Amino acid sequence: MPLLAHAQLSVFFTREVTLSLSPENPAPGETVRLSLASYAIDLDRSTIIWKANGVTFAEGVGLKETSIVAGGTGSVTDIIAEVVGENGDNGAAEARISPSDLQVLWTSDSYAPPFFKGRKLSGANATIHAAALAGFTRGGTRVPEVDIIYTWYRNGSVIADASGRGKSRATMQGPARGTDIIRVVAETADRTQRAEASVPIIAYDPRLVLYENHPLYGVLYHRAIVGDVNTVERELKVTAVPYFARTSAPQTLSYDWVVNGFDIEPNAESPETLTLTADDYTGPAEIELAAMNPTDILMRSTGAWRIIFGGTSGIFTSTLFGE
Amino acid sequence: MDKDRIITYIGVAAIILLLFGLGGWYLFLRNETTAIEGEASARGFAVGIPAFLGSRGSTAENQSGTAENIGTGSSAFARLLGFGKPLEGEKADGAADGEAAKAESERRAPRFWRVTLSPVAGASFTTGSSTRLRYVERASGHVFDADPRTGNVTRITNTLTPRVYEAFVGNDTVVQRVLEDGAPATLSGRIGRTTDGLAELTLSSLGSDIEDIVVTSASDLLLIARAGTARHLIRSAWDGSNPKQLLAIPAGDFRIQDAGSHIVLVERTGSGTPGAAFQASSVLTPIISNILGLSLKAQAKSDNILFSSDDGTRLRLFTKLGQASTAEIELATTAEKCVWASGTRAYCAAPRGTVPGLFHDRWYRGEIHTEDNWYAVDAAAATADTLFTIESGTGMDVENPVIDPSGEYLAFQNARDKSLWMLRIKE
Repeated sequence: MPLLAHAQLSVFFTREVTLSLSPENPAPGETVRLSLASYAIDLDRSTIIWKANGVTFAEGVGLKETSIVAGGTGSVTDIIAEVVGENGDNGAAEARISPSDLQVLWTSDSYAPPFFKGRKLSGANATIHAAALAGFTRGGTRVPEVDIIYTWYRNGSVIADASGRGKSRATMQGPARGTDIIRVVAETADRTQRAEASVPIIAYDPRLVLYENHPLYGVLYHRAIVGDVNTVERELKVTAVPYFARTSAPQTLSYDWVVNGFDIEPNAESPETLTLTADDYTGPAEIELAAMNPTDILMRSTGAWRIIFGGTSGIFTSTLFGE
Repeated sequence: MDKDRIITYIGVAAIILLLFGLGGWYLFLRNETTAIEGEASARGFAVGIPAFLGSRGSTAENQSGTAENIGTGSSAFARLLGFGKPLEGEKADGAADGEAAKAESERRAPRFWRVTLSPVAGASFTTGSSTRLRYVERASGHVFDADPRTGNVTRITNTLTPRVYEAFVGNDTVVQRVLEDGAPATLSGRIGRTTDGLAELTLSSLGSDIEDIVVTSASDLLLIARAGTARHLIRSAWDGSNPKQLLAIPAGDFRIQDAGSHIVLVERTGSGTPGAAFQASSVLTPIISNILGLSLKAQAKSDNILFSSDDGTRLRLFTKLGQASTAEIELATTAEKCVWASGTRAYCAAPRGTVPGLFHDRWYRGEIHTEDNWYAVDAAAATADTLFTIESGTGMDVENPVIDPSGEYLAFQNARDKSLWMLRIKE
């Protein structure tokens, strides 16, 4: 008989009380937050008794939230929350925690600058590389990938080419707009173990961010130029970074720089960088920039900034927090 | 006779012209110096580019000299920078009888101390007979030691590496990350021995495919290398020799943490994007998963973690001690601003006021900065108490915090300008 090993959440509601779990598909050993809600019973004045497989593990008046650690792979924990209201109103809710040891890892081929600490989010139509890691064990050892059948879904539809025995990896195009839900179901060939997991892939529009390119310190990636900034420099080099654009290198994009209404021919070697020379000029430099991918007409990003030469205070002295 | 007189007149006139010329040249240079220093101080780092004050143009001399000069100023920054007297009964390291020792013992770094005037690429405390904060200057790649007790700063290497974007520091191992022709490159070196105070740092290139790297407590390297869409977790000696692949991961973007007894890989953070953290051995074992905007700090040689979520609208901080349940700490911050101390004690910087939405995405891009205060966190009780309130207007956006082995000092960078700061935990 097949074991129920996937992250199944079976919630049997009473009419008055609902029980929710976070995360809905916990991993083995992961902490699961349990939350009760009710529109019919005043939970803040009710005694709430939490039981796991029939054993009370938490109890208190108004104890609407608690947590529990999920068991190991293949374990089943039945949660019951019993509510005793102050006016004799009773309710109960149940849920089942069956940990899923299946993780979906993914990365996109979107662009992010060197040493970027954050995630390379999926730009429109980016290529997504995903991998499913199943933690199935048999006799204390991991079940090899070739003995697992993977079925990949995008928004509920099977990705036939990517699915099959041992096919733990999938490459697909990310969404052009909105969010795609990528789901994978892993099942051992003998159908004794099964798990599923999903990740949302959100399409982000490429974002142009402008930085000072300092002669001593390099590109100041930690401090973007935001809105109006003043400078007393007579020459300033700035570099635009096309975050999450569908490109491997920013030099492959084409850049249209406009400064105070004049088109500026980009530097051939580093078109993403512009040197502003003020000489005796004092006043604003209105910078507009459009970055495009010549091979992808959908990829276009724009930005505008205002750098004021001869300002009384230094660049970036205005607060950038919470603008 | 007339000829001699003419020669004398010509000589006197030449001397007068020369003096005028020299005087004019002096005035010209003085004006230019003033203009250059004026522009330098307005470069927007809130501090000027240090002028060469030392007799040999030494950055190290600039560091100590300018720090003290500014310390006598009257601005909010200056009050933070001033050097104080030792506390009652406190004596500086190695203090002995004699005037020099007395002068040294009277010098004491302030509790909240700006260690550098110029941006740094990375810093860490060294372990040994005395506590030192070792850091790498961003502009030059020079390595400095700061004594947290006395406030003395000493340059210890003479190897120039321009524009170091990131640095990781072990006891004698230094990793520098730079751009070579626009591509990231990772260099690793060991600080040599020296007799004249400045040591050579011989750097080896580790290549351009390294996504993240840490220097372990044993001074070897843990790194994630990119190979197509896959990632390889590798341990190597300090110079990249004897590499051993610990794990191959078919996809994903990770950052490494060396937890002493184990290695932790955390998926890179995106606001509102689910993330997971794993203990890495020959396989990946989930520690926590499906957390929106996950950021995590693992405690060394324990299973305790601090983690935060960023669902795109707010930050929440949690603690999980071993196999116990998760508990939320009433502190809206990211775990990246936290550092574990001993036991269940941790320290976290947290922004004042409301944190902007999509915090991590915008913070990593340098689009927003916070103003933080420091808190002492009791992870067992899931509580946080104010440790140190930073003067308003200082603009302290804490990143990369580290704690010294004795648990006396916190060091961190200000994400606004990459300056290096230190906080003595006890007043």
